[in-house]
Amino acid sequence: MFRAIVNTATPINGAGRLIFAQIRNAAAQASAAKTAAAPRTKTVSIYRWNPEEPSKKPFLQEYKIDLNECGPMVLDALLKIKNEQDPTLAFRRSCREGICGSCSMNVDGRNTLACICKIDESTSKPLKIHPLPHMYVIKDLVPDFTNFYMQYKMIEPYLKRKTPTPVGDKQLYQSEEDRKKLDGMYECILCACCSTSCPSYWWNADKYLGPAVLMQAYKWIVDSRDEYANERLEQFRDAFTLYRCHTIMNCTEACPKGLNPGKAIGEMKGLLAKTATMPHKNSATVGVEYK
Amino acid sequence: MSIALLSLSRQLLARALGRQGPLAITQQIATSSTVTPQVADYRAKAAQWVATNENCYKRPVSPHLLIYKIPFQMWSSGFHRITGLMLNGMLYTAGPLAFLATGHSAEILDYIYAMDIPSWFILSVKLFMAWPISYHAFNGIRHLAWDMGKGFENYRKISAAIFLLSFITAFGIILL
Repeated sequence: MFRAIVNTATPINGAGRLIFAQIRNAAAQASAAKTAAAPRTKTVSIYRWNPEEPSKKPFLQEYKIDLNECGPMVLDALLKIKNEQDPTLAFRRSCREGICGSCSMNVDGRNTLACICKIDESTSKPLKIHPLPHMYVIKDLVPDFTNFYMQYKMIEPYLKRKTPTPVGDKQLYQSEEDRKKLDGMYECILCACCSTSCPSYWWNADKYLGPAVLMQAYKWIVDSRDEYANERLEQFRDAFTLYRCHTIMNCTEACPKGLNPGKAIGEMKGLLAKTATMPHKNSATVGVEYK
Repeated sequence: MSIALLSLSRQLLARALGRQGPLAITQQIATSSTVTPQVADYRAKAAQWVATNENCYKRPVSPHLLIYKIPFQMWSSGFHRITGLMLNGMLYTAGPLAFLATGHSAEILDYIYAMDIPSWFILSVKLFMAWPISYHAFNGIRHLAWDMGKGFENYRKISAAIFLLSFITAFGIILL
């Protein structure tokens, strides 16, 4: 009786049933092959702190993931853990291709972007993930960037001009050589990997601006279209704002975009000490009228 | 001799306390103790930010020195400071000792020879004193270049070269 019901409930004829069985067989074989590959279990230990339990000290929580079923990058591992094991894990991420700078964190002791940092494939060592060093932690891997953005605001990161330029009336031209001076600085995504790798910034984040912001300041100083270069430089004459840099070069070592903030700071020191001269700006200040 | 050493040591102490770089004179012109109103405004806000995080939110500071994987370049910088401290220490022991030993150097040398110390020990003590001098000198020159905005392209190779050169020079000095 039971068998008859089952038979009537599966309205597949003989040939169809054969094909179905073959497909199922192939799928079973494939999954067998998948499980046959030895699981490469990697331990991921992640810094945790919950603001709702402020008395509980920060700790490292361990998760186990199979590298065979995980994408190649550290961000893939974090997303896998958040999706499958622990939805309370907090971290910032957005573009997953190293252009937004959201997922900056300390992976295996080096500051980098989680999305473009490959997981170390050796399963003997755990993957250690901390938030950016010496930052106030909001939750887990999310640090407080308020100060970093206040510093960026202080250097006035926008075009400032003395000659009046009516908006929408004329073009501001820049020669190719002048544009080249911005290469290596305009690519900065303000992920703060460099600033938070700098020991000077660790100890004096409330007075010293840090490599990321200083490089942006230098970018506006050498920009041929900006007319406040000297006034901008004068901001940095005190002992902390710029001169806390001791050329440790951790910034350049850490930059995930391969830029050189140390060089920008060094050139700024040269300009302030008058051992270097301001780069000659040969662009036309205001272009001809656009027709 | 001892008076010259003392005045030199006073200068070095002033520099160490003032935390000035190798370009001390130019930096003195370049820096000033006053800050612009904008910087002062920022500092007030930053102090408030620290206070809010510490007292209001009670946020922890994320781990830093203990978890950071120190790159070779950071050692190069750290050794500059360490050798500077060693040189200061040496000066403050050698200065008074030289003052006390004025006129007795031959007797002291005879006494040391008579102690029959193994040569490897004497050589290593000499290296311990000679290497800080050579390393701090070579790296100091490189800091001069850095403060003028030069030498940022092949800085890793230059660091390795300075380590090598300083050891070679130190061995040269102690084997003289």
